Amino acid sequence: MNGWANSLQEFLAMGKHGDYVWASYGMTLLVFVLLFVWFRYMLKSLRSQVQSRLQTDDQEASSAKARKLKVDKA
Amino acid sequence: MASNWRWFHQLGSPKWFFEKSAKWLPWLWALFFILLGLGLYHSLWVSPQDYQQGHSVRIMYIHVPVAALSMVGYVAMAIACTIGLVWKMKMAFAAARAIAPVGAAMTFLALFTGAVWGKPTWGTWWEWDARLTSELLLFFLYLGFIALHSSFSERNKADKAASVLALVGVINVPIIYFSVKWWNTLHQGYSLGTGGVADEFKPALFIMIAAIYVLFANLVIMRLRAEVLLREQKARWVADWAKGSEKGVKR
Repeated sequence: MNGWANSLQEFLAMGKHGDYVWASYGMTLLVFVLLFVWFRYMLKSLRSQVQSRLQTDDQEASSAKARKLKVDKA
Repeated sequence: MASNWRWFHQLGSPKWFFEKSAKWLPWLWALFFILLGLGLYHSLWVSPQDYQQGHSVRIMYIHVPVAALSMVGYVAMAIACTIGLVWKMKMAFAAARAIAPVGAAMTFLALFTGAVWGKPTWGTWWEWDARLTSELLLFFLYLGFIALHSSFSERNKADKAASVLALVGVINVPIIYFSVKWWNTLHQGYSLGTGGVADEFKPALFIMIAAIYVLFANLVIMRLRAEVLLREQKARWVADWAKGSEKGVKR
């Protein structure tokens, strides 16, 4: 199907409404990209928090074991 | 008997949702980008300009879908709150909390694109017209839900209090919807149905509505995955998932 504009300038200008149309599409793009990035960041941040908690748990478990071994030796 | 409702019980399982949604999302994003590509092609290129409004009519292909989703999202949030309150289903509360920011974004965009469309069409960015005012109230209801939910340190109380607010606020949705009929002031009538937009605008509008529906679902699923992790952080499967993703085995 053929479009309505004959040149890129004509397309971007959209008569005298280019500013309004592009502001609408631009703001919509910006808001959705921000939401996407934010939600992705949330999931990644939660994953790394769980991972670091697991590491501290492991360290505590191993140090408890170490203490126990010392007691056994003595 | 139970098999008809199995999907409902499965959706109630955070672990099941978290695992399945990781598989759904790539397909849903693919579907979205196909619809978006088609939709933008039609709305910016194929669709003609309006004989009165000129090219500013192209704002409709954003404005109508986001405005529709702002209301659909609120109703979905209220339904989720009802399910949570009545059947004590935790996933329903999590879903309501996940819908709120996406719905708020849709409402903001409906107001923004409406203002930007209003300037060349009505000669004003804003008017205290019934449709515009009730949509602004919807935006504050979404923000109120989020603020109230985060003001409680105990999640159970937060879920219940915010749900009550969501249910009280749902009365605003029919007011928004019927406002153009009840108070025929500035905002134009329905875009869809009899007396709506002309046929040549419909392909672009319908494709963009479909695209924004899919986008809404995708963003809610993304936010809900984070919400599920927050709520189930002590569960064993969450630890397994974090370990698995460390090795790059599972996402």
